Amino acid sequence: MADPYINDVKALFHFDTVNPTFDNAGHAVVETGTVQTASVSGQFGDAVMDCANGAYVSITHADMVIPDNEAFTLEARVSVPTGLTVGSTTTWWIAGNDALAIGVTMALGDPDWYFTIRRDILIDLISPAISARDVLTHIAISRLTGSGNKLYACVAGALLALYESSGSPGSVMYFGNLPSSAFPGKVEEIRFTQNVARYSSPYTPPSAAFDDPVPTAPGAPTATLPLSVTVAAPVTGSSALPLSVTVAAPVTGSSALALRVSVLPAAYLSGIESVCMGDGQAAVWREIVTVGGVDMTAQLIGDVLVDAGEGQARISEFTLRPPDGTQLELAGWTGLPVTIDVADYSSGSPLYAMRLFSGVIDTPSLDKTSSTISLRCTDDLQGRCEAMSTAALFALIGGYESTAVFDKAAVGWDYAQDRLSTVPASLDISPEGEMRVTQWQSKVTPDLTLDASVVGDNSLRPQIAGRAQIVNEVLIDFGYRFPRVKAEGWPISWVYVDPMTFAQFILDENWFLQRQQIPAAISAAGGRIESITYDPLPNYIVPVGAGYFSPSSADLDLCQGFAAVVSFDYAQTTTETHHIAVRNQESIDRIGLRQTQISGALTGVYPDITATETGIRLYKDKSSGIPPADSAPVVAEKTSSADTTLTTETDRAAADAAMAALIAIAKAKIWASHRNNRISAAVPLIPAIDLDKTVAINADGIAARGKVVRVVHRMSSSNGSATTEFDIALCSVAGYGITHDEDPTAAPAGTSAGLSNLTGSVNITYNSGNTEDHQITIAFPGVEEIERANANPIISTTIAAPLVEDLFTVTI
Amino acid sequence: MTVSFTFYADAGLTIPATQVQASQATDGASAAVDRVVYYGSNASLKTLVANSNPYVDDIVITPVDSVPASGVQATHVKLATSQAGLAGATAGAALNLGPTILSGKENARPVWVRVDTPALSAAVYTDITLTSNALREENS
Repeated sequence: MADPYINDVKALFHFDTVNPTFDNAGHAVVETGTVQTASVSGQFGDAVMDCANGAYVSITHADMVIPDNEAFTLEARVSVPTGLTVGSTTTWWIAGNDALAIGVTMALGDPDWYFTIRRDILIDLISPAISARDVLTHIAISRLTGSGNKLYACVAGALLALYESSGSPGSVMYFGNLPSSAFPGKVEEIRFTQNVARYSSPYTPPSAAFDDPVPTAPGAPTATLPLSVTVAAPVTGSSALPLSVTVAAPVTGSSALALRVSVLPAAYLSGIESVCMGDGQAAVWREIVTVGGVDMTAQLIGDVLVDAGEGQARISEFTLRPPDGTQLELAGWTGLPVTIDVADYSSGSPLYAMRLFSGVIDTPSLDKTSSTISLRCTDDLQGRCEAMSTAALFALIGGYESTAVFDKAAVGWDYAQDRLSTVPASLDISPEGEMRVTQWQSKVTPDLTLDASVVGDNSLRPQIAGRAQIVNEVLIDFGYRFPRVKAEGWPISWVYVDPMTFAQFILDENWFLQRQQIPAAISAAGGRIESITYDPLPNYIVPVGAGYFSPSSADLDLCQGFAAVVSFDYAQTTTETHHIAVRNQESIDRIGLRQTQISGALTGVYPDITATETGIRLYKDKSSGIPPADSAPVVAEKTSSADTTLTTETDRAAADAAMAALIAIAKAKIWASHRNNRISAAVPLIPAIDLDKTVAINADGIAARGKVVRVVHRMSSSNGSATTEFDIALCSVAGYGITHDEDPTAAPAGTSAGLSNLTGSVNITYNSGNTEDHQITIAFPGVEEIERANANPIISTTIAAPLVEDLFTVTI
Repeated sequence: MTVSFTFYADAGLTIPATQVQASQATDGASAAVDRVVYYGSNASLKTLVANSNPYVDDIVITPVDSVPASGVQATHVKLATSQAGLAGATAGAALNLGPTILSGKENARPVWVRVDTPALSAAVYTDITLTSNALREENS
């Protein structure tokens, strides 16, 4: 509990090392001896004043003089040492006529507290014997005001006696081992409280150090302001927002993909042998069909067909007859992966399996009557192209690109077709399901050679390409329109009077030409002066008839002629017309000209060439501070030209790429038209025959070697028939072994910026006569004809298109 | 729920691959066969990481031989991320695909497989499986 009289405490001495003494009014406090020492049982804080060492404190308390009728309380905790045996000691003393002292006396044999209150008479009070030594005991004097001025002497919570006391003690208080009395005990917690009688009834002695008052500056003026503090019950409560946290197990797992390696004799891989060709006996084979990874071979009925062609999706068709009672979710079959193999089954289990098809179900059809499911499957060539990025397709196919020739927005299948149109190759998906590009050119060493022992009787069907199918020249018309800036640099060196004619010029009363007239005349002609120097009049005396010409400062404005370079800037839009003939001369020689045409055009994108032309003029005239984006350098006696900065899709490189793409298309067209010769054949099913193979045929008088362009495998378990029908393409025009020239697939050179000579002349007329107008006129030729002709150049080029001849002879 | 990343037969991730098919000659003289599959996911905004130490450990594809020392062995298989890389690949070694793979066909990783077997008995061997390490799929 806080001290209710805290503000009335005028002095307080703890005698602790960190908080030794306190005086609240600036009184002089004198410490004598070591006033803080430890220790005694029950002490508050870390030290007490040990009076045995002669320590004491005094405080001059002029304003604390205890007047008559004033209340006060003086208190402390005091111990008496064990060794005290003689005399009386005083531990407190307030000097003066009304002195007040508290001490210990041995007058009665045992130590006793005694209190002395002196005024007119001496009043001594001796308390009961002090039995506990070296124990701090609370003792106090507390005086009431009012009737009788009661003063209580207090020891350890008991009121020992009551006296009337109205005296005023002296102005100095002493505490401790006073020199005159030699009190040997220990003291702490001395407190002087003014105007308050703290103890007027039995009390509980203090159990802790007294509270320290708040210091106030002595003599400082004070003011009071009522402070109203309303302590209200706090507004309490809480808010809640549910937080829903779903803790899910992470999605984990791993991926696995089976590697299926079919190991079989090399002869089967090459096609020399086949599981469907018996070796002196009937072949025992079996197709193996899986749907969604499940072997469905046992449910097959009817034929199994696999059909593949260059640039087409490989398809397969077969029919399943599920067991009665089988419950199927047919709608979910679309898109299921399908594989078809053919294998030797002579041992009762599949051997030498070879893949014929990898794809997905495109269309399942249910025949309720026969309880069969017909499946049409595809390798989804188009769909797979659609799903591929253009970068991936370009990496696969290659070829030429040009935004001027092809739709730059084309993606997927359309993009693939654009690229394929520029290469002599075809795109398909292998039986194993891999996208591939197969070159049209057949291999020198065929993958497979078939003779009459394999080729079915009369199965060979040659088809010779008709003339109408052949193209041996493709005319490409390509227009490229773009702007150029040009500058003419006209040199002028003109003199109208010289030293030989000078005197006569004056005698004839002619007028000299003002220098300032010359720039004006050039500007009037539309030219801009790049450089100019003037021929000054003589700076010496020249005899003229009977007189003399004497130079003067006025002559500096005149001249006898000048030398200058004058420029004319203009822009020109050039339209290059490229006639590119891509042709195969041997084919033309043999078959005659079979021509077709393709064309393309590109216009250079430039902000505004007219504005550029004007901008150059304004900048040179210093009428504008904006330098032109493009301008041609001025070269004397020349017309110089410079290309402008076009967008990357329309600049020269883009034009060259466009022409290269068109040339590539033309070459591919010519080659494609020359491989329309076909030989179709039917053989026992040979899985090795596929679109990437070159097959040589030597049977029925036909010797041919070409790339497979179509293959159809057909397996019919019902009659044990397994066949492969295929077509090979044969490029044959000039005969096997004939080589054809080929020029690079590159754009022909176009026109280029540069210099050309000026061929005209500048005409200058000066009317110098005395009666004439004294005007100079300068006339420049117009734009050179050769430059005007550069506006529409025609560039013709011939490019040799290659062919690689395939073997193809027929013996009747 | 399992990870959406898997092997596809095409770069556009339209046809899930069920197997890698290759044919080899019994005499071991046939040319090596190169195949390519694509590892990716058509899911939206997914990131695949190794489950062992996500974003630090690599995603690896390993040829695992379920019947070691017979038939086609892991050392008959090379893996690479490009066909050109197959030449320098170590036979039987795992293929490192990096610590993360994002979903989408543009992020699919090609896995080139080269199969080159020595002389073996005629049969269809399926004891090699291309297997990934333990993976975790997270939202990107």
